[in-house]
Parts: sequence; C-alpha cells; structure tokens
Amino acid sequence: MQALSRNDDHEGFRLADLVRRIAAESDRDAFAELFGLLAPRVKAFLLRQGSDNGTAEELTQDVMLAVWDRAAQFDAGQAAVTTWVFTIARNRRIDRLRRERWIEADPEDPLFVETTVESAESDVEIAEQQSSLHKAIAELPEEQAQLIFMAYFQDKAHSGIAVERNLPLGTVKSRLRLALSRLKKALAGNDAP
Amino acid sequence: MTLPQLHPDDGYLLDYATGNLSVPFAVLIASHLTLCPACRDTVKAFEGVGGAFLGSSEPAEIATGSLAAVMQRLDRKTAVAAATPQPVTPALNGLGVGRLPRPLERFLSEMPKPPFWRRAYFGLRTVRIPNYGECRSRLMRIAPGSAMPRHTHAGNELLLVLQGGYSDHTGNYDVGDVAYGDPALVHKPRADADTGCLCFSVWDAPPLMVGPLAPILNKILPV
Repeated sequence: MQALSRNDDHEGFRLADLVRRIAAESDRDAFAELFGLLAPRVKAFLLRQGSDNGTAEELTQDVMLAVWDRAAQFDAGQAAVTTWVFTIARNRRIDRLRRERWIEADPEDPLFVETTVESAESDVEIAEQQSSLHKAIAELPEEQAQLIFMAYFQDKAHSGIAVERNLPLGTVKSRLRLALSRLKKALAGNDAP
Repeated sequence: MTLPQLHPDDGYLLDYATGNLSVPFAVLIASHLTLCPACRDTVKAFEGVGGAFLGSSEPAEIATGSLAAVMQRLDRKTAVAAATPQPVTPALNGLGVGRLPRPLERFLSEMPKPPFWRRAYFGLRTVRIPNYGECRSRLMRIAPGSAMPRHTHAGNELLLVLQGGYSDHTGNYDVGDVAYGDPALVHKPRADADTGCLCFSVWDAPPLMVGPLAPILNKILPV
C-alpha cells in the first residue's frame, strides 16, 4: 500500500471552505484553487484505476465541472471533500466506461428512511475522522489490504477477488468484515486496535 | 417504520461503493439503502476509503490549459435541473403497486416498454425486466398465503422485500430485508397470509426447481 500522509487536517478544512465558497458565491477564484489542489489527485487516482492518460484527463475535467455544478449539494457535516469527489469520480467513470448511470439512494425519496440520530459533524471532526481513516488503511493487515486494493484499483467485485485469489468466498467476506470493523472504528473516532 | 433486520453482506456493500456491481444488483442495493440507515453508514465508510485513496494520491500532471478549458465551461447551460430526480411514477401506474424505492422506480420506468404483470405460477405474477448480460431481475408479486415451488439457485440471488413479507425455513423476511440465495439454499417460500409479498429479485443464474415435477417446472415456468 502507498503511504497515506499527504492529506493533512489543514488541507481538509481548506477544501471544504473552497467548496462552500463555490456553493455560496459561484466564486471562480475558489474554483481555480480547488482545481489546483484536487484535479492532479483525481487524475492520479483515475490513472491508478487503469485509465489511459487521455481518458483520465477528460474524466478529471468532467469531475471538476460536476464539483462546480453540485457544490451546493456537498454536505460538509457528513463527509470529507475527497470522499464526495471520490463518489463523483466513480459515477462519471461508470458513465464513461459502461455507458450506465450509477444508481444512488435519493434523500428526497418519500420512502427514504432517515437516520435516527442525524449528527452533523464539524470540519474538525470530519478532518480527524479522515486522518484516522488514513492511518487505519495504512495499518490494515496485508491480507485485508490486498483485498481492499483489488476492489478499489482493479475493478474487482468481492466474488471476483475470491476467484482470482483462489480463496473461498467466505474467507473473502470474513476478511472484509474484519477490515470494515477497523475502518468504522477509525471513522467513529477510535483508533484501530 | 421498522428498520430492515436482514442486510446485504459487506461484500455487496463494498462492490456498491466501488462501482463493481452490474446495474440490477446496484438498483437492489440502492433500494435497500433507501430503507436502511445502517447500511448507508457502511457504504459511507467504504466511500471514505475511496476518498482517502484519492486524497493521498501522488499528484499527476494535468494537461496545460486544462483549468482554462474547464473555466470556460462553467457558464454553459447545465443539465443539473434535468439530472435532479423527478417523480417517475406515470410509467409505473399500470402496475398498481404504489410507491417503490426511487432507484427501483427509475430503473423500471427506463425499460424500453412499460412494465406489466404476467402470470408465472399459481399465486405468482412477475414483471420481466430485460437482461443485463448474465444478470437478470424480476419484480414478483406472490398472493397472500401462496407458496412457491421448492427450488434452489444455480448462482447468486439477492431479493429485496418491498411490501408485505414471506417466510421459509430460514426465517421471516419483511419490508426492506434482503435475502440471499445460492446453490446451498433449497427453500419453499410462502407469502404472508395477510399481505402477500411484493419483492425485487436479481440473480446471475436462474432458480432451479427441485422435486418430482422439477423437469417440467424448469421448462415451463416463465420466471
């Protein structure tokens, strides 16, 4: 796994602040700065996922454009900017590669069941969560890290990972459960065991 | 509203978060997420992992003029309004099922022809949905108290209960619950006597009937 040190708390605040300025004032300077901070990483991420340079470049532009269009929908109390941008990049990539629109639950859906305790979190908490998540990912045991890597960077469904690694599906599922409990602990603000 | 008690496992939620699901499975998971805050939290955790990977990527070189090109497009007429979800029921009115989770409503309303019920078995009606590669899906309505023939599954099946419920020897499945079927499961589901059961089922290989009538049922059942 790569080192996960670049994204510090301070930068997390900066990103959230820039998105807010875009949402509130259609601030082009804020967008230019956000582009400088994010676009090279979005592109790097797409390249790691196997896109060629041209496709990664085009998709990056699409993603940044979507960031501009949807800035008002970003909820800083719920997720880090990088997490939000990850979901946009995922959706754009599926749209492009498979010509399919990715399907998401819609909070405006009359059937949508709200979380019982909807806790908006501060920028500080979100940034702390994100950095302990980085730490938890870096500290995953190799066999769990391997599985996560294949899911995010090799387009493998968990059943496909089992086939490719010649593992029983149950083993993949149980490793995943272990990894998830560490990651969720990190997000809940506890250090992984 | 009671919360779902039976959930897709972490593997499917990871596949959803990473975009590694075919459309019908993604529709089923997104419909469950509509009803299940707990699974939304899990997906959020997995998306956070994606965000961590993205945020920590060693920056790649961006083409010269890339920012200028994007800046020029900021003022274009956006399709944002069109992209925000609209109520999509008209095409589904003919089904007479009331509201369904929106991901499923959208999926059904985008079928090339308006969906309709057809009789599949005693007490079972289904809506056929076009295949996605190996992946098939059906909306199913089982009449109150009706039992399905004993069957197993050649591959993996996920089923989401939308209205009412059903039971088999593994337990009771109510609204929002996800049931999982594979070759290890042989069951004879029976819809609840008072409500019947409306559900959405997705599989990568068809169900297989078992028992003396199996050879005939497997041929004629238009599941």
